Amino acid sequence: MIRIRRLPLKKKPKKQKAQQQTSSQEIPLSKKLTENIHLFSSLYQDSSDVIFRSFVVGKIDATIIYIEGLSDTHKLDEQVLDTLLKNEFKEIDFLISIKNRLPISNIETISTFSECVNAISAGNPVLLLDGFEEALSLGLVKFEKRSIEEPQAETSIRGPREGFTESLGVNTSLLRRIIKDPALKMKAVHVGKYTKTKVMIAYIEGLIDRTLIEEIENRLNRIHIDGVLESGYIEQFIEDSPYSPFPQLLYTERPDVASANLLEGRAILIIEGTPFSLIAPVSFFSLFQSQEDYYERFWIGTFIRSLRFLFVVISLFLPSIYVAITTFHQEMVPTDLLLSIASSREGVPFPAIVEAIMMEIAFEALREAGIRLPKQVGSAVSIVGALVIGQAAVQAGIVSAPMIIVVSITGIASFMAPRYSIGLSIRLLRFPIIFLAGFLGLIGVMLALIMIIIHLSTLRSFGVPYLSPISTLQKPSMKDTLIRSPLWKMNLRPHLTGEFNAVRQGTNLKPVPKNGDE
Amino acid sequence: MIEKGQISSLQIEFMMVPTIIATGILSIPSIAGKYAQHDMWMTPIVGSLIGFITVYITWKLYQLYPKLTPIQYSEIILGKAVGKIFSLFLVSFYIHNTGLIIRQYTDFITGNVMFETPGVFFSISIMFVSALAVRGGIEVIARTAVICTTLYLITSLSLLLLIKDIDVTYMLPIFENGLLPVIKGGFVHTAWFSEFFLLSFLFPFVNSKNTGLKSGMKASLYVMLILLYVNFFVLTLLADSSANQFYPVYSIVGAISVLGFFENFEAIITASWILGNYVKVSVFLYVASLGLAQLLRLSDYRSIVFPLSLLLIFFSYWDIPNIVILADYMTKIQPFYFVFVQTILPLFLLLIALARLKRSESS
Repeated sequence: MIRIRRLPLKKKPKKQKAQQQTSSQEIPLSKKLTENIHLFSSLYQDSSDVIFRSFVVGKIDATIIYIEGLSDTHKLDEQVLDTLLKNEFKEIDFLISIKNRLPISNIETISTFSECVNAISAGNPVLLLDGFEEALSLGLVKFEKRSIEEPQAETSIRGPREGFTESLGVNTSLLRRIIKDPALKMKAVHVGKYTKTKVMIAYIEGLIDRTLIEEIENRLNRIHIDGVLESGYIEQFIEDSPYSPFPQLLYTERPDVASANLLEGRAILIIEGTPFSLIAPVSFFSLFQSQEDYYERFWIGTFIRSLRFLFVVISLFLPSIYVAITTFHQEMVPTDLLLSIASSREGVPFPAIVEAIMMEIAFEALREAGIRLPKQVGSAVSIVGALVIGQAAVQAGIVSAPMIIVVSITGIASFMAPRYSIGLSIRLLRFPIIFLAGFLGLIGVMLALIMIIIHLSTLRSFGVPYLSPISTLQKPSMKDTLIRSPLWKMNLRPHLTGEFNAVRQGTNLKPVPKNGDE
Repeated sequence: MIEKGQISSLQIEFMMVPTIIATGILSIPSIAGKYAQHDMWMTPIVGSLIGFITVYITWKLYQLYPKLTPIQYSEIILGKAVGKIFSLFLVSFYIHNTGLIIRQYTDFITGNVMFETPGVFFSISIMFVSALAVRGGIEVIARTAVICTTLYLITSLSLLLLIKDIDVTYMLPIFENGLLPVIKGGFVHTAWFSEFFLLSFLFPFVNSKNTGLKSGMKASLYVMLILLYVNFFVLTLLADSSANQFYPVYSIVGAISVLGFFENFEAIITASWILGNYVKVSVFLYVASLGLAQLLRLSDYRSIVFPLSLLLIFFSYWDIPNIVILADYMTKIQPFYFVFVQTILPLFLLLIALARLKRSESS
């Protein structure tokens, strides 16, 4: 397998014989209806939800094929069959006159089996007529879908309440409703041999680097799997460093977040069947940005953002620093504090590292169990967990009280990152750091930090250095990383790759009351 | 070219500052105090002259041979045979020097922070981490340096917490014994300042052709200011007794006490110093492996990083039996040796190159 490492792509990956679609596909339709029906019924053998409705239009035999539950049968009956059965059609230009008469906005003429199959699977009934090599696909898609709701995993106090749904059409429309300029483009790619999942690459023409879109398309085209059930499938096939514990693409359920990223020159991958869209390329620091940073005043945005960084560091290093200090550097702790820690650790039989690992694993288990259990049992688990792992363990002298405090602060801190995926990486990395701290003390912790920084420095997301703009020292983009400067100061877009349209807004936008007067 | 990465001139500043001060900060105040006593605070100013001169020589050589490292242009300047010998000498100088850095790092940690863990663990671990970065290429070193240096220098601000304890009268009388002690103390610094010759291995990879000199000079200035700042605190807190300590900075950090609760900053300072030391080791290791690879005309330097790292750990134990001898070496040999290799020899290179240029122009 070719692993595409980084942009800019000099040599295009060999066009893999990408769409080697399944068998019978490129065959054109036959003129005889019976032959076509024969092929279709062998294709849809044992599929009782595929319906073949045969009837006669004028003097010509016709058949409509559709899948139950995917098409609007009500409209099919009232508009299509009604029109076809009750009207007379000219023999010349028969197909065109039918097309003109049918009261449906979206009719396409198709001529191969594969097109017919795609139309039927998508929910468009296909009208086949005897004596014609072409069929009509009628745009009557209708299936049950979830209504637009507030996203569960990405809530905010202030901001739009709409979230993406499982339906691709709804999601693209949500984006179109926000960004009305025709420069918003959506390119479709189909992924998955059996699911044929539609993946839309949304981007704004003129803001995005063209090579980036090519790169994304290339990477999508080389995916050869049976099915795509969630955006995670796509993510794992197109990321730059598959072995890294860090997410190299962001996901979002919010159209406003997606639009904000589009406006900064990123691409959004909207995937059929999941409310989670992917954002590419991203940097490490975008994992700590939340939409509310921009909706609230910049002081608050800056404060909350720095709080997040602080707590991410805490959640990554606090248990290991505690282990290092209690094992190797007791002199670091002020005497009074040291005494109280020592007295609470007095009866504990385990060394600090064992204690820490034990409690962290228990906490992780509790957290995972909380997600999996049915809601009714969930509260019982949290009570038992709090009692058993908290109080009882301390009273029994198995775990020291400071360790419980450390583990719980760490647990709370790991929820501070606005993106769930970075929280997962941190949970994973915590354990090796605890081990290093247990063996080499604070020096082990620092070595772990250096190794993490080295790893982050080698990462790239679609050619963009993962630690940009801080470690690449791009001054304009730094206005929106550790701090969130006022919106009227962010005059330039962040630089991602290649050519880009730098100017975002006019200068001198700072609101000044009574402009021009004294 | 072996290295395809590109760095910015600002990143060079972030790389060079800890490369000079990481080990310098340990022992310079002590050695400089030995010679200059209560005038030792101004010794970095004298020492930095060598820094500025070295940066200038390096820059001039770079301008004559852009995109080439000293290993490559020494062959052009001195001819094939002599150039090879010079390159071999330079590479072995850096290999030896990197070994010493590892040794200083290990000695410091086993002597002050982790008393019971065998030192070789620390040698191996810092070597391993640096080797990882070096294998990632110069871009990775530069990017990590930005973050590590920032964190490292931020913690050095904690010295400001000592401002209530300082006694400025320790600095008096100024120039009691004339200028000579200051110059002697300054000469100790030159060993570190001459390390700016490392820039000649970094300049070829800077993305803009004209800003290198400025960033090199700025880095030299920053190093001088930081050493001035550190020396000032060491002098005003420990007075002349700074000469009696191996690690005076470490001693004064121990005196920090805020509100009677925030005490014992040693561990934090040591922890952040590891970040700085990592940058130093990885820059040296990078230069050593790149130099060796170019000398041997290898197609890639990455494959020799780990074997070289192993060699460096042996080097760190080879010729230095203990810390007293190390201090002696740093006082008596290092200033002459380092300045000779990294400032005087490049100056000769530059003069020969200029002379050749002139001759080819006239003929």
